[in-house]
Amino acid sequence: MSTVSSLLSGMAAVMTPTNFIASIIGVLIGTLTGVLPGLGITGALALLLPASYGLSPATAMIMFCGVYYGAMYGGSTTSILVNIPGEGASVVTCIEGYEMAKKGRAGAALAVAAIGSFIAGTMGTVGLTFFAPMLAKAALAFGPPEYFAIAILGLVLLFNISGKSPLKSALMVMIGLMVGTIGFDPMTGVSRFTMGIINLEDGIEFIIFTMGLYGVGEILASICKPEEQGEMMKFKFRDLYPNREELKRSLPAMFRGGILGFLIGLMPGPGMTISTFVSYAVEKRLSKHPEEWGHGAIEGVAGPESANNAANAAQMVPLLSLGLPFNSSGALLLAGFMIHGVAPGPMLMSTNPDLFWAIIASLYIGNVLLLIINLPLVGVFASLLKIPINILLPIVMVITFTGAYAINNSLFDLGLLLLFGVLGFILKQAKFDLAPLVIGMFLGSTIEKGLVQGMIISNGSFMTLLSRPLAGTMLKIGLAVLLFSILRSIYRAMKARKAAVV
Amino acid sequence: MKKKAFVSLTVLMLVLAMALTGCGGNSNSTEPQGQDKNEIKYPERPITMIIPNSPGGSTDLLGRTVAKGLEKYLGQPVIVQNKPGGSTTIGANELMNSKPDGYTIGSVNTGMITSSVFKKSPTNYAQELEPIALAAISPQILAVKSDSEWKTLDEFIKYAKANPGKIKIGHTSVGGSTHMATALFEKTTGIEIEDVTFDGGSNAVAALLGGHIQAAMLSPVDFKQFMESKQVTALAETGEERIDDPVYKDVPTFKELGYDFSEILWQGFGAPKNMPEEVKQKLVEAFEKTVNDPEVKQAIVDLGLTPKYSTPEEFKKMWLETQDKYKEVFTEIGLIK
Repeated sequence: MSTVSSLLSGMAAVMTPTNFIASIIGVLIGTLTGVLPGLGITGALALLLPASYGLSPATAMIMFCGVYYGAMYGGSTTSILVNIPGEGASVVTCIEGYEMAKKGRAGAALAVAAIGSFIAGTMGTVGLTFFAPMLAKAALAFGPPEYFAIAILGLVLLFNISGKSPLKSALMVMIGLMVGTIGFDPMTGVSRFTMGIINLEDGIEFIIFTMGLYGVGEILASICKPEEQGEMMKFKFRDLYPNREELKRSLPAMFRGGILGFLIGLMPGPGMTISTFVSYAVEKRLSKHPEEWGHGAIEGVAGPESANNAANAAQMVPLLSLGLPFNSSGALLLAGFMIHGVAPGPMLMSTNPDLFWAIIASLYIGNVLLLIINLPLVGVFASLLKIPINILLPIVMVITFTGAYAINNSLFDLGLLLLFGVLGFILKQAKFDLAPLVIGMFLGSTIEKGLVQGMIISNGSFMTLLSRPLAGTMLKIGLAVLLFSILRSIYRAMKARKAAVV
Repeated sequence: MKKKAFVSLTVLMLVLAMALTGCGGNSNSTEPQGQDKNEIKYPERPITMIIPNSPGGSTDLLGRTVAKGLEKYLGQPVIVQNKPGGSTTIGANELMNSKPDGYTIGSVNTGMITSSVFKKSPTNYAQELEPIALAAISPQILAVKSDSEWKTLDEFIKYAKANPGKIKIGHTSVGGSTHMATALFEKTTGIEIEDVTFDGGSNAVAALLGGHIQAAMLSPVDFKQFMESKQVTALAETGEERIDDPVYKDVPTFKELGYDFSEILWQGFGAPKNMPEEVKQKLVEAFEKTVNDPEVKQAIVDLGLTPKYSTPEEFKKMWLETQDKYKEVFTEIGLIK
């Protein structure tokens, strides 16, 4: 049977009443948990796993996949509305999305995020349907040295994402890397910078870090500016949706984001979050409106939000065709499959094709359902901003703290959240960019693990590591970019000095 | 009018958030009423089960499976609460410091040994907690890629002896069970291979299949489907006896092959110390029935673990023995200084 006819029979399997309802429940739960900051796919799936014991494997899988996709849709909501990233993949959406919200374009940003998620999610699913086995093999060529190289390249390319002072950004990246080393050393088990605090032993939760820096920091900053109250709250219903101009600008960004997201998402671990940063950087470089960046450029929402959904689909590639989850939510999805006696992997397509194609088909249907559910919600969520700020902010604060507590059921995390909130507030007032800090913290552990594992694999020789074709090429590109940007900034400084003398 | 709708919406979101965080805490707030000094009615309200790991992992899934089974024999809901962090010490400390009234129990596992032995926590959990029951065990498996040049353990060891340091072997979690199995394997056979620590079995399997490492020491569940698809070959396992699972029934133990060591990861349940004797007895009985319940047993097998019950005394002995072994071996290889 050809791929298309298998897919069609899979569609038929999903359209049975039970499975269809399961899919709707899944995407609804996914959307809701995505909207609540802190509660991501992991939390939602963990809650659903025990409840799913009585369901048939296909129904349960379809529901899990709905949650998996749904959570990625909802993630952007709080980023755009109140500057609180719900998960790593929505951090970059804060930058332009929140600026748009401040200008009263929250609805447009949310709608573009939903449409982009749909387009890129579908693109990703098409890629998954037709190229999965091939791509999965390619993904295996990436070992620890390659992760190290990718992370380094990412760091070099992205550290100055805001395009302001390279020196300030570099400082932020360094601090981010340092924060990332807190906790026990992954190779030797030695505790680092924990100051004897046992809660720091496993390191700092990335999402607590970002929720604090962006979310709590923003709330604190808002408290200091009471005069702006009420200014941004006036908009008509028609303004809730993007206008023609905004859509025209977003569409190419969505497609680019979709392609980038899918390719980068094939990378294990941090692929999804990195893809959003890369998409942001690419859109910024290509934009015809460079003056808008940092002040609510719609491409900066459309691109990254599309990228993370395509990456989400890409992460299903190794899961379904190899049986290997490349991130924590994938791992939970795998656990869900396993307790229903389904082992995804090379065998699934041949031993249980009906189930395999039902899962794939449910991803297409889930995407359509999510668009249908999310577009009307745009109006509801955007209207939340009409709530006076003195009522809205405390509510947001409570939701943030509740979400942060839900991640590990830990009061200590709430302390950290507050600490990073104050840090974010101070940095913001001092005109430091938060994005490089977050990127440094995020890539730090990948870089460290990749380097240590890669060095053992390369017999302790950095030259051997450089001689690996993929890793070596990426590292050399990284080095070239770094040298180029250093030389360029020296040249610019000299030119500026000359101009000053003259 | 509209304002009302917004407020109710946000209230709804709040309620949902709270519901999702699981308000399991309220079980501690209601004190048992009319408690007679001589007679303890137990259990008369829901019981909280602390799981010291994140949701979704094997400890969590086992805990949830057993919690569900316990409800049948205790007649009260058992609420699972994840308290991850600090390599299981956060959850272990929480359990240790909770009221010893039988309303807070917790899952305990080899991770607590690691944190005790590495002095991450000054507490010796084997002594400071009350072991209730062992629930599941699992050996570790040494496997290579099927298209590699080694088909048997002897061939592998011969190659490793001729090429010291050339073989890279993957395991998970420094100081954990797979690390212990790897260390014992190297020590007993006298070969020189390089360890690479991965976070999670899947990452190690990916590196093995991609040819970045030559061997991996992981749990049976990590390899299972790759054994079925014949992508990896298991050379030996670290248990006392062979695994029942048909996929693994032909895999010899190291002991069978003449290498005298074993390493078994275990998962059990415990409670705070100094519980009233009757309460402890009731809990022990309920756990015995639960772990031996055919339905629970099957669920444990589905998780890739071997169901195994033992009494509190046997369990404590095993816990202490494992602890001594970890201390000795990890000191010997220089991990504990």
